[in-house]
Amino acid sequence: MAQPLVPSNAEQFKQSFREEAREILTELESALLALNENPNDSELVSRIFRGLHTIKGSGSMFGFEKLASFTHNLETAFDEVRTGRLEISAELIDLTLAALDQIRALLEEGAAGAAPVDPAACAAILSSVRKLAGIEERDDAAKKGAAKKDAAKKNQPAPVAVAAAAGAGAVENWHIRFVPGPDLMRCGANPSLLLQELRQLGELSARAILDAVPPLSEIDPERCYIWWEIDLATGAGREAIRDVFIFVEDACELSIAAAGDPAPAAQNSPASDAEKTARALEDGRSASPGRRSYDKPEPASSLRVPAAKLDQFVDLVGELVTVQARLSELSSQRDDAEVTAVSEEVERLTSALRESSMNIRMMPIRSTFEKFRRLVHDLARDLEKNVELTIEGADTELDKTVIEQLGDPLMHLIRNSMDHGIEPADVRAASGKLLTATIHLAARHSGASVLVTVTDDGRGIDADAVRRRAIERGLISVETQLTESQVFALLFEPGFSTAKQVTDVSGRGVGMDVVRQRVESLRGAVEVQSQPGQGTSVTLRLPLTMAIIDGLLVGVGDACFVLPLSITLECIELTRQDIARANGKHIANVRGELVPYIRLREHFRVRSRAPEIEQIMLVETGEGRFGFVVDQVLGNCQTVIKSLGRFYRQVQVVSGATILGNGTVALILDPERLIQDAMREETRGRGGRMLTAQGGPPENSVDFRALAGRGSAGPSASAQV
Amino acid sequence: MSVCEITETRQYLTFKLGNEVFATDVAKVREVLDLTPITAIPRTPDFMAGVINLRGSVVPVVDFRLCFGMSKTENTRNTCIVVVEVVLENESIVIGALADSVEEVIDLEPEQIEPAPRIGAHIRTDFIRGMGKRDTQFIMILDIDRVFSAEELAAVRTQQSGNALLEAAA
Amino acid sequence: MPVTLGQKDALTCIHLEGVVDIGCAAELKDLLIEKLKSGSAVYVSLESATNVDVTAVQLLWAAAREAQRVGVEFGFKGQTPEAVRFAIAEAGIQEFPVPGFTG
Repeated sequence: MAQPLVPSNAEQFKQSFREEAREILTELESALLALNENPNDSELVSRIFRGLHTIKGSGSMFGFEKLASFTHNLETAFDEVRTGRLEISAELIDLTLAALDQIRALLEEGAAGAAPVDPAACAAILSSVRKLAGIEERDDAAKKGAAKKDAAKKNQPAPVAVAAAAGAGAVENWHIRFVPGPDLMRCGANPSLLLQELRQLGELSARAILDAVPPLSEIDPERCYIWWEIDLATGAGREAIRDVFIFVEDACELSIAAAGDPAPAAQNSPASDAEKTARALEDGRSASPGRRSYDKPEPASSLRVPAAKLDQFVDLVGELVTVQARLSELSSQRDDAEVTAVSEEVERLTSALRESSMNIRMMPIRSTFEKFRRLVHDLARDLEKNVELTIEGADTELDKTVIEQLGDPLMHLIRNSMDHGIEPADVRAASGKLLTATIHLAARHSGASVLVTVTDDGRGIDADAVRRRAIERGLISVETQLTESQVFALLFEPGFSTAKQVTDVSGRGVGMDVVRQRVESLRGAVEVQSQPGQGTSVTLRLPLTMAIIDGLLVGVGDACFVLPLSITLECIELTRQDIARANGKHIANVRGELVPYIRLREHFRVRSRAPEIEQIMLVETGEGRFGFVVDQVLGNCQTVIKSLGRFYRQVQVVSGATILGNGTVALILDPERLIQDAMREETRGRGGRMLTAQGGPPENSVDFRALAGRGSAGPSASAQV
Repeated sequence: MSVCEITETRQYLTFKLGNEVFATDVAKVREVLDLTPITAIPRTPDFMAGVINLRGSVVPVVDFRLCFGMSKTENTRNTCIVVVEVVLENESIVIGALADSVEEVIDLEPEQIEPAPRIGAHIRTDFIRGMGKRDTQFIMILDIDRVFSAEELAAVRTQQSGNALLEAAA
Repeated sequence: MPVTLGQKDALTCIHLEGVVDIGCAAELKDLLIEKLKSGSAVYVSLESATNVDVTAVQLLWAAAREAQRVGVEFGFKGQTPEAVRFAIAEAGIQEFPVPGFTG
C-alpha cells in the first residue's frame, strides 16, 4: 500500500484540509510567539505538538506527502521538547516559524497563483531542525534497531525486538477496538491508513470484523460497517496510540486497553465474533453518558460553507430586499387592506432575513489580528527593537469583506509604527520610557461602525516636521494655516514620507496613502491622534456591513440620491430669501451656528427649475458639519448597494447605486468625497492653484474648512483623511 | 486594423447613428432594449450617459453618438439601448450603448468587407474594423472592444472634461 | 472505477479497474445488486484494479453472502494484483470469504 487511498472527490477534501491547515498554522504561529515569552509553558508545547501532528497526519491522509514528511521532523522536535529532552530556544522558535512559512507554501503548492516552494530553504530548515532535535542520531539508532528486528524475526517473532524502533518506554501489549462511526468515511478518513500508522508504532495484528455488514441492498455505500480488533505491542504509550486516531476521534468508537486491564478488552473472552459484533453495536447504540451514539449523530455546532455560496445567498437576499421595496410601494398605491397586510408581513420577514444573512457574514477579527504577532516579532528582530503586541477586542465581529480588506492597511500602519513611531532602545532609555515598546491593536463597536485602532507608545508625530515636509513637497504653501488634524491628514497624501532615512521596513512613502485608499473603498475613514513623545494612535472607522446600508432618499430635479442615514442630523428649510441674504455665500445659519452647504443642483449642474423652498440636509462628517441642499427629502430606505463597476470607477462622489421600488436606479452619495470635490471646485472657481494631489486640503479653502471645524461636535483633534 | 481578421461569414447587428449605418458582431451583443430611464451620474463626461436597471443589475450606458463626435442622442420612439459585452482591461463587462435605431441582423462575407478608409469617414478610423458594403450603402463595422478600451475612454474623457473645464471657466 | 462487463453464456464478469473506493461505492453497489438479480453467475475481476478500500471490500463481501442466500454462483476471476491483496491484508482481512480470491 504505497500510495494512500485518495477518494475520488479528493479535491474537495484537499480543499477543506487546506482551509483547516491554514487556521492551524495561524494558531501555531500565535502559540510559538507566546512560547517565546514563556518558554516553560508545557501547555503551549503540547498545543504546538498537536497542531503539527494534525497537519502531518491529515496531510498524509489527503495526499500532501511532501508536507507531511516535512512537518514530521518538526513534530519530532516538539515531541523532544514535550518529553523534556530538548529545551525551547529562540533558535528553535525562529526555525519553526520559518518552517511554518514553508508548510504554507507546500500547502498551496499546485494551487493557482501560489508562490513556488523553495526546496533549498526547506532542506536548510530541515537539516537545522534535525540537528537541533538530534533526529539524525535517533534515526541511526532506529535503523540499527530495525536491523536487529529483522535479525530477531528470523528466529522468533518476539514483539520485544520492535521496541528499539518504536522509541522509548517498555513495550506493552495493547488491545484496541476501533469501530468506525457512520460518518467516518465521509469525513475523508480511511481505516486502512489508520492501521498503517498504528503499524509504525510497533508489532500489530489487526482483525477486521465483517459481521456487522448488512445485506447488500441495505448497505449505505459510504459507510464503513467493518470494525477492528487490534493487538499492538509498542513502547510508545497510550497517548501515541490515541494520537493516531486524533482526527477521527469524534467519528468512531475507540477503546484502548493495556493487556493487563480488565474488560472491555475482549481478547480473552471466549465470545464468538458474532457476539462481539452484537456487543459492539449495542455499545454504539446505547446513549450511555460519555459515549457517542452513531445512529443519532449530534448535530454539528458549526459548519464550513464556501464563501462563494454565502456571497450568492447574500446577493439573493439583496434582490429580495429590492423586490420587497417594490411590493411595499405597489401596496401603498392600492389601498387594499389585505394586500397591505401581506406586504407588511413580507417586509418584516425580509428585514429579519436581511438581518440574519448579514450576521452570517460577520466574522471575528481575531485571525487578522493574530497574524500580526508574527509580523511584529519578525520586524522587532530586524529593527533590533523590543516591541510587544497587545490585542484587545479580537472577538469584535465585522463583515467578512471588510476583514479580508483590512489586512493590508493594518500591516502598513503597524510597519509604520515599528519603523518610524517606536524609538531605538537607547532613545527610549534616555527619555525614561519602558525599554519594551507596545503596539496595541484594538477593535470595538461604535454605533453602526467598528473602530479598529493601532496605537504605539513611540515618539509621536511632530506636526511641525510634517508641515515642513508638506511645504517641501509642494503640497501646501508656506502661508497655509492648518489645524493639527489637517496636518496629520497630510501624512496620507500620496508620496508623503517623514522618515529621514528610507528603510526597508516601511518603504518610501508608499503605504500610508494605500491605507487611506483601501479604507475609503470600504466606506471607512482614517483618524490620527498623536501626542509628541507619548505615541500615536490611528483609528480606522469601518462600516459594519458592506452589502446594505440604511439610507435617506432625497430628490434633486428628476434624480434621486441616497445619503447614508448614519451621518444625517436634521433637515432645515432654505428659502429663496435665505439664498439672497447669504450674498452668494453658501453658508446657512443654524441656530446661530454657521454651517457651509453644498447645493447639489448647482454642483451636479441640474438644469431644471429649483422649487421655492429647498431643504438643507445637515450631515456630520469627518470634514465637519455640512449641509447638502436638495429639492426634497423623500424618506428613509434600506438599500442594497450595487457597485457601479469598472466603467465608472473614476467617479468619486458616488459610492454605489441602488434600485428603488419603482425600478429606477438611485445613486448613493459619498458625502466626504462630495465635500472634498466641492472644496476643490471652490478653490478652482476662485482662480486658485489647483492641487495635483486628489483629496488634499487646498490652501485657499482654509476658511471653508475652519468654518466646518467650528461646527463639528467635539473638541477632538481627529483628522479625516 | 487589418481585414485579415475577418475571414469567415459573420452575422452583424446594424444600427443607425444619425444617417450613418454601423454594425457590430452579433457575438458581442447580449440584447437590445427599448429606451428605459437612464440615471445620469453627476460629474462625469457627457458620453457616459448613466446607468440603467437591467433586471436587478446596474449597467452603465454610453451615448454612442457622443463617442463618435456627433451631437447628443435625442430620445425618439426608435431610440434603443444595445447591450454589449466587452472586454475592458481583461475583464468582461456589460455595457449599454444608445443608438438612434436598430436595423437588422445581416450576413457579410469577408469579401464584402473592405479596410477602413484612412480618410473620408466621419469618425475615428481606429474604432472601425472594416467597411461593409450592402447595396449602395456603406456599413461601418465597429471594433467594439476597442471603442471601450481604457485608452480610448480616457481620450474621450480628457477631451470632454477639457471642454467642461473651459465651460466652467467661461 | 471504469467497469467493463463481459457476458458469456449466463455468466457475468465485472471487471473493476483502477481505484475502487468510496467514490464509486454507490455505483458498485447498484451494479452488484442488478447483476445478482439477473440470476446468472457473477464473477468479479480485480485484475486491473490498483487499489480497493474498505467500502468496496464490504460490498463484495455482502454480495457474496447475498449470492449464497439466493443461490447464485459468485466468485473472483483472474489474478488479484499484489498491491490490492496487500491492501486487503493490511486492512486486517485475512481471509476474503469469496471463492476464487487469490489472496
